[in-house]
Amino acid sequence: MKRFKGLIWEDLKSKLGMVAAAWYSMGMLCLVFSMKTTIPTGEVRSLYVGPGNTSFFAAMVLFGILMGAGAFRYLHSGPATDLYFGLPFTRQQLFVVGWMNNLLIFAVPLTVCRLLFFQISLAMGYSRYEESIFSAWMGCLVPVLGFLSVMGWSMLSYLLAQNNGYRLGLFVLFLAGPGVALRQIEKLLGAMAPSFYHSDLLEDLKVYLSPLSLLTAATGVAEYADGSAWILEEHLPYITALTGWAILLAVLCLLIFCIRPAERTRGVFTFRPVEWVVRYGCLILAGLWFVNGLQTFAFGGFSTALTGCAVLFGVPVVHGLLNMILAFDARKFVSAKGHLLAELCVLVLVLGLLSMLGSRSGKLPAAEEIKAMAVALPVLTSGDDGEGVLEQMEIEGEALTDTYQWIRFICGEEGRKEDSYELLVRYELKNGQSKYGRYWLPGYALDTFEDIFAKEAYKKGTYAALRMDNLKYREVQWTNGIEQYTLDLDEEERQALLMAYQEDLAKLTFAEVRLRTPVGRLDFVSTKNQGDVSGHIYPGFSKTLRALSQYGVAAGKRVKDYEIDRIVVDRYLIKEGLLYHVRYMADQRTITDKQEIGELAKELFAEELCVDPQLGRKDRNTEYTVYYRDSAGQTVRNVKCLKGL
Amino acid sequence: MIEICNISKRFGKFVCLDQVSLEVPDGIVYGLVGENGAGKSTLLRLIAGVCRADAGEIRIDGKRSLAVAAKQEVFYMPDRQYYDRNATPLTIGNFYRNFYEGFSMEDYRGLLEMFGLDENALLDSFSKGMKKQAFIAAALSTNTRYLLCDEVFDGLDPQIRKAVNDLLLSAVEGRKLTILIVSHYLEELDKICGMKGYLHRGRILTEQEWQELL
Repeated sequence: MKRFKGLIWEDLKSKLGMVAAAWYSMGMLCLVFSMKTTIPTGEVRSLYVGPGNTSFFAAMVLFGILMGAGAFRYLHSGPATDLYFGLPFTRQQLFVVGWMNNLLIFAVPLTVCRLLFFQISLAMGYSRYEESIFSAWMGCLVPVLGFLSVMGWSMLSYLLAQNNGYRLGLFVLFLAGPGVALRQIEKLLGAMAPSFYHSDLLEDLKVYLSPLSLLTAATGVAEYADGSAWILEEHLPYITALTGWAILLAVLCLLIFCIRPAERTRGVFTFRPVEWVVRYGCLILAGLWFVNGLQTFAFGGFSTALTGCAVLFGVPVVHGLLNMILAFDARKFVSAKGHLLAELCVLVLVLGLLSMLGSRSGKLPAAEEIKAMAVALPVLTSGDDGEGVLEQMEIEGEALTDTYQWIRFICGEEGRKEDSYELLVRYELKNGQSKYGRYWLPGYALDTFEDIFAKEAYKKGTYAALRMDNLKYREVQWTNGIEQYTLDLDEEERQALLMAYQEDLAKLTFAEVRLRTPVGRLDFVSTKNQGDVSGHIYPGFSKTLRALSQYGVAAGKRVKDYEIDRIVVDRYLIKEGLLYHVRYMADQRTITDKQEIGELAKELFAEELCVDPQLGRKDRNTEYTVYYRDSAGQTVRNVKCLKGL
Repeated sequence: MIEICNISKRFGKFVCLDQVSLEVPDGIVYGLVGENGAGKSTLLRLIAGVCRADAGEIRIDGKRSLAVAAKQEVFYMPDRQYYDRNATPLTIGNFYRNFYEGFSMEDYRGLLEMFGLDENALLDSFSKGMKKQAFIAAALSTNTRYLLCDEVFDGLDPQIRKAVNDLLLSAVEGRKLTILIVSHYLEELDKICGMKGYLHRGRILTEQEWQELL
């Protein structure tokens, strides 16, 4: 025991700089926080003390890198290695002491300062104890797990490479390699199969295999930037995966520490197989990048000839560069010819596998395999976004058969055509998996979408307002793009308005969405941070308009109904070439003639309401700025408008 | 007793030790000689458990050399000693006192005094020989049963070399210390070694083979 205490103490002494840095930086974060004068409102406050805090996230990554690289610095020097390995300890014991000390050096100041941070937050009234105590504890635990995982990657790089430059390179490869490779694979699959849109497996791999993505997902640092609340259930799978990585990396580092030669070996890496992994890993990354890069010249399609060129010219260049990097000798550009042949074979094999995967993922699944479907026409943005719609919709039974046949015969599996609209589809298969497809609905067949649009499941999936039961914890806001009001309604009145809106939505036709511009928008704003729901009001929404007018809202009031002072018309032109796209103002005209204003105003709609519901039929290159007098008639305000139907 | 049985060690394509077998009896000074690159230092590092052999086995008092129980009985003094930039003889003593139960600070201070070394002076301000004296003092104060010395006489003047020889021999006689010394100072080895081994290109030679080689 005395020996162990001695080893822990000696190891700590060698890391005194890091101990001081950890306490100093964590303490400074508390000090800066205590002097903060502007704090976000609402539930975002709890994020300051939770795992999503960006400052502590940055500290976690930075200390993880530095302490992983500095854990066993004695391995860098022959005499120091002789001293430590000659002491009466096994290598396992030496590793455990170094690893544990690093953990303590980071975790102790982090926990103390985060709890102090929490106390400051309570004292200044930024947090409430009951609401934020769980976030505060998770704010200690998750960064520690994240630190262990970053430290693991950094330590692994340190143990596997023999000089600092290569250690850094290996670390960057570990951190960014999987994410970059998976993005390249996704891009290539998209080029190979025009109907490839999304793969759940690829998305999961991108998060779970990419250390930085996993850290971001587990801590919720990206959500923090968005200002939403930190909810454990959403992060639990990532925290579990992070724990798994931290344990796996610790075990792997221990194993390598135990078998690592005490003396320098030939080459830049400690073990020869590491060089092969790096060589072929980099080759696949660069090869996929080359192939994807050249596909740019296929202009949206996939060219096998360009792929062949990329392989034939790309592999020798990458091979030469890798030779130079791995030997740190420019003269080695032309060497290791055996590897060149193997590299060609490996890349061709990878591309062959991806091609098989692409052709499989691009095919429509057989009708009998499908349990439910979801269809989204992203150009219809009223309601929810494309991906959100796909997760919410469940078309089943007879409607499923109709929808499937419609996609099969109208859209097909071909790529994008002129005058066509993107259509995203999710197939929920009977085996429990989901398959996604992107198809192109020809412009001439747009009317046929009316049948799909009319289906109850489609509307329920597309319009979030149809999925709401009550408005107990929501307030209602109305706008016509010119004015905006929060309606002072009791719960019963809110419920009546919702019912009226839902009835109108159920009767909404695709033709109305396509051909009519909304006259207003309702926003159901959550008071419990559950996300807001918005929905457009179309001219045919008689029940909604009636209900709104009952509550004193001039819901039918359009641009032409205001007292307009003048309209400024800005006309823009676009110049574009292969590599440029410039939009510039061609001319500007101010209309003051009352008759002309009256005629023009009949066709104008507030820009805010023209969010593509007309499937892009608006002329967006002519902007109308309408200067109107407000209800009191004293103030001239202005609103941007577009000319519509 | 140190038993080395068919030990082999390669560095890439270079065969450093090729099935070397050796027995070092207790209570003697064993000298290991050989030309540069013969594998002497490597053999010492293998015995000390610093590096691992590719094949073969080393046992110290019947225990595997990598086991803590064996390492507790061995003190390894490499050719080049590592110490912190701010280290003094006193901090060196405190360092080893943490790890070796038998370490005697009293003995250590006595030896430092004998060598005329200030325990609070920076090691960096010492000459090569003075640094070596400080580490010899530490090695003898650990009171382990085995002492592995790599080029222990390097940098010592003749007077100090004699003093070191006397110290080593008194430890062998007094507390049955077993010393394995690797050195190019053949005369010094002749003076103190009870047994000698000859390493040549990774193999142990007989004295006759060694003489023929010379």
